[in-house]
Amino acid sequence: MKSTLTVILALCSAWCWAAGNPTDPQIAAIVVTANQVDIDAGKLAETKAHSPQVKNFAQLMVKDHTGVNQAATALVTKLHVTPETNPTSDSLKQGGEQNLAALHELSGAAFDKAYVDHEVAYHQAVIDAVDHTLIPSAQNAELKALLVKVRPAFVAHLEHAKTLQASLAGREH
Amino acid sequence: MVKVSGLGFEPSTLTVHEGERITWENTDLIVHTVTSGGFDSGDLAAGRSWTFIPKQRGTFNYACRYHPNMKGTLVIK
Repeated sequence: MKSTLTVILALCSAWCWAAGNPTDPQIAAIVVTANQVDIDAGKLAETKAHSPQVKNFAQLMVKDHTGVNQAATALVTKLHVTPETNPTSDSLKQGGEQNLAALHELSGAAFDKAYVDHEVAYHQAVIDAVDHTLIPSAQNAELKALLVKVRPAFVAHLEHAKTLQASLAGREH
Repeated sequence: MVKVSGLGFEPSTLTVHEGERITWENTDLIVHTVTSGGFDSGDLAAGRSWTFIPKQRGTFNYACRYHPNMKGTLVIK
C-alpha cells in the first residue's frame, strides 16, 4: 500500500510542471517514457499476474503502448526532434522503477491488485497530463495531433483497468 | 470504407449489397481487428487496411478482439 502511494505521489509530482510549459523535445521524451513505463509494468504482469483477466490486460498494455511508442518515435524522427530528458520524464522513469520494485515483491492476488491499482492511477495521471499540459504546450501540429489521437486509447485503458479493479475487489468479499 | 479511428468504427453501421467490396482502414496508432462470427480481419496494424466481400445476406455485429467496446454493425442486403 505504501509503495502504491509513493508511486502515485511520484506521478502527481511528475506532472506538476513548475518550470513553465514543456518544449516539443521535452514532450517527446515524456511521451516515450510514459509509454515505456507502462510497457515494462505490463511485461512483468504478463508473467506474474494470477488472474487470466489481469494477464490479458497486461498483454494489451504491452501491445498498445508499444504501438504508440512506435508511432511517436517515427514522428519525432520525421520531424528531426531529439527527445530531451527533463524533470518530468526523469520522475516518470523513477516512479516506474519504484513500481516495478514493489511489484517484484508481490505474488498472486496481491500482485494483481497492486498492478491494477497502479494502472488506474497511472492512466488517470497520464490523461490529465495529456489534457492539461502536453496538448496545450505542443507547438508542432503533428505532435499535437498525435497526442490527440492517442487519448482515446488511454481513456479505454483507464475504463478497462477500473472494471478489473472492481472485479478484483468483488472477489475479496 | 469504414474508418477505424479513436477506438471506434466510423460509420458504426454500414449497409451494403451482397458482393460489394468493403474496406476497413485503421488510422489509429494501435493494432485493432474487425471480428465477427462470420469474418475476421486478423491483426490490423496502424495504417493498414482490410477488404472484405460479403457473400451472405444478413446483419453482422462485429468488434475489435482487443478492444471489445469497439463495436460495429454490417448490414448486407
